[in-house]
Amino acid sequence: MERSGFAGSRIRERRVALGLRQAEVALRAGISGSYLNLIEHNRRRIGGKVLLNIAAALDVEPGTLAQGAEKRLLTSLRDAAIARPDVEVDLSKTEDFADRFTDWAHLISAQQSQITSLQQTVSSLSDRLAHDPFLSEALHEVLSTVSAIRSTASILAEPGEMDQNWQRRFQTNVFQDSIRLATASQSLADYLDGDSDRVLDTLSPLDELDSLLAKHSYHFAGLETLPDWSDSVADALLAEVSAAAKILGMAYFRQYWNDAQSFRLPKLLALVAELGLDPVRIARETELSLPLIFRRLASLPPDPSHPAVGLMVCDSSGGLLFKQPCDDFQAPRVGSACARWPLYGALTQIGVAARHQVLHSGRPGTLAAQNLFDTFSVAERVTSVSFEGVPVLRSTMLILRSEKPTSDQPLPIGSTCRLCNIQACTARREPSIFSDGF
Amino acid sequence: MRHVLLIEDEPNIIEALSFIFLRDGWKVDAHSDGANAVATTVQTAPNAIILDVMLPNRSGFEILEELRSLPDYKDIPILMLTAKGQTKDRDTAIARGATQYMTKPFSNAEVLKTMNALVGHAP
Repeated sequence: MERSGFAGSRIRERRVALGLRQAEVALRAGISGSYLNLIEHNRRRIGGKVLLNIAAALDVEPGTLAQGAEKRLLTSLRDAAIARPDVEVDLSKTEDFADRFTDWAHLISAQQSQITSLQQTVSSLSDRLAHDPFLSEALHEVLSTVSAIRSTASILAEPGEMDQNWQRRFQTNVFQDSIRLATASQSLADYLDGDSDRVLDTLSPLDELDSLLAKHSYHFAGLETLPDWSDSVADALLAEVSAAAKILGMAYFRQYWNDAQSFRLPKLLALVAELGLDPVRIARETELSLPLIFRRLASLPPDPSHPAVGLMVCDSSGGLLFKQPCDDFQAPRVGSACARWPLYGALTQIGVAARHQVLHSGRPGTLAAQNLFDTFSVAERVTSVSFEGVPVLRSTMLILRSEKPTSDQPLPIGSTCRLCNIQACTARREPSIFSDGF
Repeated sequence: MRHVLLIEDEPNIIEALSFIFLRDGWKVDAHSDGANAVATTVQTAPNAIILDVMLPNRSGFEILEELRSLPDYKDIPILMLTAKGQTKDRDTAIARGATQYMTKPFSNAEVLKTMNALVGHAP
C-alpha cells in the first residue's frame, strides 16, 4: 500500500532528470540505497535532515520537494483543525498523522472541503432567511397554504358521511388553496432558481443599480468620451431599470461624466501605467481630490494585469450608497456592514485620509494571505458650511487586493456580524452563525 | 363548556379548525387581525386560545405578552401556531408564556388532542 507523502515521486523525477543512479544519490545523502528506494516509492515519510541531505544531493531547494499535493493535504488538515478551536489538536503532529494514516487524512481533507462548501451555502441561505423580506414572506405563504390544505383535506378524507354544505365549502377551499399554493411555489422557485437575479434586483433601487453597474464592470466607455452631458445617453443606459433606480442611476452617471471630464481616461491610464494603482501618488501628481481619484480608479476598464479594485461609499448614518465589491471583500446585500471598516473610521475626521491594510475575515480556516486588502478612505462634507441645515457627509473607501503584506498587524475586519468569525470583536452587534449557530 | 378563540389570519384554516372543534363539542370564536385580538379575547372570554404568530398589524408574540399581563388571562391555555419552525421562535413563545407551541403544517387530530389536554378534558 502506498504510504506517506508525495515528495518521493519528485525526488525520483529529479534524480532521473539529472541522470543519477539511486545508489549515487543515497551515498551523497548518507542513506542506504534501499532506504532511498522506499522513499522514492512513497513508502517512507521524509523530512528533517534526510530531506535536506537529499535536496543537497539533487541540488534543489528542500521546499521544492515538499510542495504540491502533500502540502495541499497538510494545509487542508490544518484548516480542518483551525476551524474547530473547541477540539484540541496537536498541529505539530499533522505531518505524522498524514504519513501514518494517509487514507484517513484524505478523507478529513475531503470532508473539510465539503464543510467549507456547505458553510458558504448556509451563509448565503442564512443571510437570505434572516434579512430577506421576500423569502420570508414567500415561505410563510407556502407554509400557511399547505397548512390550510392539509387541515381541510384531512377532514374531507375522513370516513363517514359529511354535511353536503360543509363538504362543498371544503372542496372549494382546497381548490382555492391549491391555486394559491401553485402561485406561491412558482414565486419561490423563481426566486431560488432561474429568475433569482430579477427578483433580487428588485429588493431596492440601489441593488438594481448595483446589478446594472456590475454587468458593465463599472466602466462606461460612452461616458468617457461624451463631449457634452446628455440625459438621453444616461437614459439609454438605464432603459431596463425601475423609475426609482433610474433616479439613482442618473445621479451616478452624471457624477461619472463629471469625474471623467476632470480626470480624462488617457491621462488616468498613463499615470496608472507609470505609478501603478496608487491613489496617493496619483493625488500628488494631479492635485485632484482623493474621492474623485478613488472613483476614477474604480471605474477603470477591466485589466487582468491590475489587482482587483472595489469602492464603498456611505453617508453619516453608515448606510452604504455605493457597493462595488473587490473579490471577496463585499458589502452585505441587506443589513449593516462591519463597523470596523476604515470607511466608517474616516467619518470621525472629515478630510483626513487614512490608509490601512485589512485582513478580511472569511470562513473559519480561510488562509489569511487570501484576504489581504489595501484600503484608502476619506470622508468629505458634500454640503457647504452653514449655520443652518444638516451637514451632509460622505465617506469613500477604495479597496485594492493586496499583492503583499505591508503590515505585521493588518486590521481585522468582516463583512457583516452574522457571517464573520472574528472572535471577541468589540464592535460585534450580533452573534455569528459560524460560532454560535442560528 | 370548552370554548376556544382562534386568532388566525388564514380564513380556510379558521374554517377547518372551527369544523373540527365544533364537531368535538367546543364553542368556537375566531378573530383574524392582530390589532384588536386582546379586546376580542376579553369580549368573548374563551377558556383556551389558539394564536398564530404572524398576524396582520400585530405579532402573536406581542398579543401573548399582553394577555399574560392581564390577571384573568395569565393562566389561560394558549397554543401558538406558526409557519416558522425555528428554535428561536419556539423559545420566544415559551419565554413569553405560551402553554404549547405547534408548527404549520399541523395535524387536526394533534391540535384537537393538545387543546383537550390543555383544558383537562378527557377523550
